[in-house]
Amino acid sequence: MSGYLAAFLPELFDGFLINLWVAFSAVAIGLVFGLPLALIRDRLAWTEVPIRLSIRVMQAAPVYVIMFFLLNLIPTRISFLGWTIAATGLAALILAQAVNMVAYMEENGLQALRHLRRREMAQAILFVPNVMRGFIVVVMSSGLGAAIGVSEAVGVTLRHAQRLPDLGDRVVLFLLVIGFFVSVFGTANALLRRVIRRLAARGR
Amino acid sequence: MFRFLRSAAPARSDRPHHRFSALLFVLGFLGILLSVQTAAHADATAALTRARDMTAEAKADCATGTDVLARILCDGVLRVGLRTDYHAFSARDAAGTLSGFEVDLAQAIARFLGVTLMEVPVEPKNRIPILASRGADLVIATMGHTVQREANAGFIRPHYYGSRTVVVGPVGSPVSGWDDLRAGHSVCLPLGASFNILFVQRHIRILTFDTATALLDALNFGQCAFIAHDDTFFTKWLADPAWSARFGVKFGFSPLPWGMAVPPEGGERFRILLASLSAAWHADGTFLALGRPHRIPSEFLEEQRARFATPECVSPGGAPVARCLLPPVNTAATDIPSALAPAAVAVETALVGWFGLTLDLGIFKSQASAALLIEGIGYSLAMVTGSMVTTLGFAFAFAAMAGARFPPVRWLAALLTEIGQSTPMPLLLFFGYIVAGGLTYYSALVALITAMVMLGFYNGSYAGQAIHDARHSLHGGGGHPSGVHAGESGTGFRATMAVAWTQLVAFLINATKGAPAADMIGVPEFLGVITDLTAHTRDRFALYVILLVFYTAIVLAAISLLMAVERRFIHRSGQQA
Repeated sequence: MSGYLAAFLPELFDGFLINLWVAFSAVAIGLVFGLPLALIRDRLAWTEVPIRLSIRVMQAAPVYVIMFFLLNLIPTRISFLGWTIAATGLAALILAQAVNMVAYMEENGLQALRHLRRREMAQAILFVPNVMRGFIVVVMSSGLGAAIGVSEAVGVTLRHAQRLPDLGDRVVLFLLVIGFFVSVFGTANALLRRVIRRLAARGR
Repeated sequence: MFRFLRSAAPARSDRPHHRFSALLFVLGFLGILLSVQTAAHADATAALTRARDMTAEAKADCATGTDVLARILCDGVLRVGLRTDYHAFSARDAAGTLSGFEVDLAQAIARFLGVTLMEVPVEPKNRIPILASRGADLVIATMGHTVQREANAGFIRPHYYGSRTVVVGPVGSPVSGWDDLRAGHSVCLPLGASFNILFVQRHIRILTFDTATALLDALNFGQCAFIAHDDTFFTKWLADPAWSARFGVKFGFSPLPWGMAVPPEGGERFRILLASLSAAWHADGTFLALGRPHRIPSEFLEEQRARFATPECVSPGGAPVARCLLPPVNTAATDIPSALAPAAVAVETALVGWFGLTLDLGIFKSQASAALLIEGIGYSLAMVTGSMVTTLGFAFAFAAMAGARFPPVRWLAALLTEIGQSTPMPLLLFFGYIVAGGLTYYSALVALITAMVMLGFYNGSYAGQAIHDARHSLHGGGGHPSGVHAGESGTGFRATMAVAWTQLVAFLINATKGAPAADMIGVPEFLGVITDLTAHTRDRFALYVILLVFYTAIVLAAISLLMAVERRFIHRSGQQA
């Protein structure tokens, strides 16, 4: 098993880097599109209803379904200003996550803007840990990419598990990976809760 | 008499008699062999003679403009549609030259006719249109002979080759049939293959790939436990000792005869000639000899040789006998129109008329695929409902455990909550899949229950903590994140639910949104069915729009339902309290 792990762990870490990359990209897209939407909704009253409805639909659309939708419908090569991008499963995964992130950033951005207007700085600054929370949520759900062949951590784990002939070994492998995620995200969530508690305490 | 013979048997004087008997036996055996061989040659000769006679007749008809055979002989050129990418059958080598069994066959026919071969490159999607438009006189292009293709091509029987679809997987795997595959294995299939529906109907977890390379990579790198394709597709790989040491054919299905085809109009005389020639070449082993250098699977050719080597399969006039010919495959044999077919046609027509949009709603027209779609919708609704129920169940269980008096129960609750909240949901789903697949027969129902449990565990871990925090705050244990505090609304179950409601709703909606991901572990819900059924149509736009609208509507319906529950019970209970 130790020899097997020596081969598996580097692949797992490489896969996890892809999870981080997906989350980073989706959050970036979410910020780029979500914050201007929040600003428009905050400043132009007539945009309130259409933007709110759009955000509701974006929130209601399941990431997994959007991912397949994009995978099947976007052209395999996209040319833009002389650049050619190969539209892969990874691109579909990032864009699917970005749809939800745009809605998430818009809602949180709008709340932050309204707090800022009321000069509630401590509440407004909660936007930052909320962005971090969004990042963690996307890292965790980016494992959905395993279904379309993206070699992120969950896909790598499944691939290795399917090669193991023994059920016991497979379970051990999964428990190891679950342990890895629990240690990483358990720490991240604990830190995040601490930051939020401190910021909330400063706001009182 | 008996005694005499017994006692006389060992006598030296009888040995010449035994030798004579043995000689008679050998001569008899050789005689039988010779007669069989002679009969086979006689059959081949009759068929060849007929083909030569027809060739001679056609040569005299150069003035007949519409007859394909006459035109070939008079122009001295035979234009044959050949593929350029099918290894061992017809593929270009590094120098750009076509080679393979089909190329050799085309050259052999040209030689027989005494004309020059002109290669016409064709692909599966244009081989019949090229033939119908007389862009080629003959197509030999790995084309399966189906009833559906007969209207547009004159197929030659006996067929020159036959394939079957095979499932290929690890050499050590015990899989040997459909029932073994159902135990939770993933199978990778070529996008657009007509046999994909056979896997879908058996609820086998499939992944489809656009290219043959991607399909092989998926097997080589362990993304799929098995792949399925025509057996001829694997010829090259199975000939590779390193590859065949790892993978082998597990089982085969759906035999398909391959036919040479001539243009439907004007090609009748050429078709009859080629039918006799094919019977002769099966009988005398020419087809087998042409295939041998390319190391293609030869079972079909051997079976056909044995069949046409008998006098029963070739008439005295040299024509193949009908009862010895294989029938074309009817790929629409199970394609009974569904009750939705008229509505689907009406929608297609209306969209073309109103917006100029051409959409293929074919999967709603077939009874088999429509039944799968309806089943998929049922699974989706069951999945959504079930995952909400299990989320609530786990939430209450975790909350109860977190508030237990016995410390180890509280520690266990804390551990399970941490695992639920920190493990990616897809990983939990796959963990459930691996465990359930290892412990029991992995059916669609097991997959459904596994997905419900895992989704419930994931969302319930968050919702349970919300309920526990709410109860804690109502009992004066500190502020609640939502800002609701104890004192105004009591401390009972309803008050706790009122405080925890917002978070509980969030995670119930999350469970609804996560339901389609059950597809990952083989739940045959709507998304999975659409993905699998659209494997053989490239016009998938309408179906994926329908899919997105369907799931978004389900989530919005769940939100509306939860808001109604909030109005009916939560707010009212809060007011009463």
